[in-house]
Amino acid sequence: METDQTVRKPGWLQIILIGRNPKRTLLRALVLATVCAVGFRLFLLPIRVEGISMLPTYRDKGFNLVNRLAYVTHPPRRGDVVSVRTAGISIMYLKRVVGLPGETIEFQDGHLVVDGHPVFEPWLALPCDWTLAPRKLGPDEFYVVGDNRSMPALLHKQGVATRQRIVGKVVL
Amino acid sequence: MKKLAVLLALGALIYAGYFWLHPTPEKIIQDRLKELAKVASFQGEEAPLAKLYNAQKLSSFCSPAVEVTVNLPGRHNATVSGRDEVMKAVAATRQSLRGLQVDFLDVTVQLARDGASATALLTARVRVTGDRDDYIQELRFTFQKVDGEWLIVEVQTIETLTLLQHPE
Repeated sequence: METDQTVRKPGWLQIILIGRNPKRTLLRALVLATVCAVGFRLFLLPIRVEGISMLPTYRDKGFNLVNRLAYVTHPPRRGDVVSVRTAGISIMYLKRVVGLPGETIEFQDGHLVVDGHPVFEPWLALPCDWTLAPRKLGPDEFYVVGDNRSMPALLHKQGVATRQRIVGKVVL
Repeated sequence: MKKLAVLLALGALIYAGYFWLHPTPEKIIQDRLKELAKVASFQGEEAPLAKLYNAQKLSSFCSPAVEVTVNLPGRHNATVSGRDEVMKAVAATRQSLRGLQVDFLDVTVQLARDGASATALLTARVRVTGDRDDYIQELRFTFQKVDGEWLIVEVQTIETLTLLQHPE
């Protein structure tokens, strides 16, 4: 008994769009989508920068990634640019860590002063005239501020953030 | 195997249907907050009647003794008490704006042990027509169940970052 089975070869358009084996392509696409969904949610969080508080380091409407695993082994360090969550991670503040737990932070005539000593900040390019009273940070508190301090201090979103609010370190 | 799949699908359908018909208090509060954001938003000039209707609709979300506390040290401090006062403040704000888009993001609702009150934490994003930047503010809503309805009894601002003070 003979059977007449003709194997239809896939066309070039099909090969380009979905490959020679559509099932395998679908599986690959599903795996890739899962890896992206998990990866971009749990490890590398994509963000869009809005606002001018981090000028000139980060521009308005820029794209970046936040490494959520950056502080698994060590706490945030001075100079790190971190994302600070609000009620969740839909909206976060992009700020630079300038004060560490236990330190006393203040601004004198536009200069950052930590434990009574002025700190040089190479990332600053715009003028600043802030004078803010000293405050000792608690054991779980970090002081975060933007790089653009040319606006009045009250108009610049900055302040003490607890460790739990810091989501991760900005990658790019 | 096919029967099992059908049974599982049916079970899932009944389960989803039950929660659709009997939503949890958390879900009810989340839906109310969504509606509140929708009612608070407006675009363009509002007709006087529409203004009145929307203000009344907004007031239906609040208890008569509602209290709204804005406490942003160094920036703004104010407390408005009572449904009528809150509505007056809302109406005055709407009057002065050309448009407003309110969104409540990352809403988490926690029900109290007694089941008669609940707290909702969220981030409010407010877009004012004509303004360049959005206004972002964390808020805490306290709800109370009054005659089977969840009403807002308190709204408080939460400071995401605590600012250093200007020297006295």
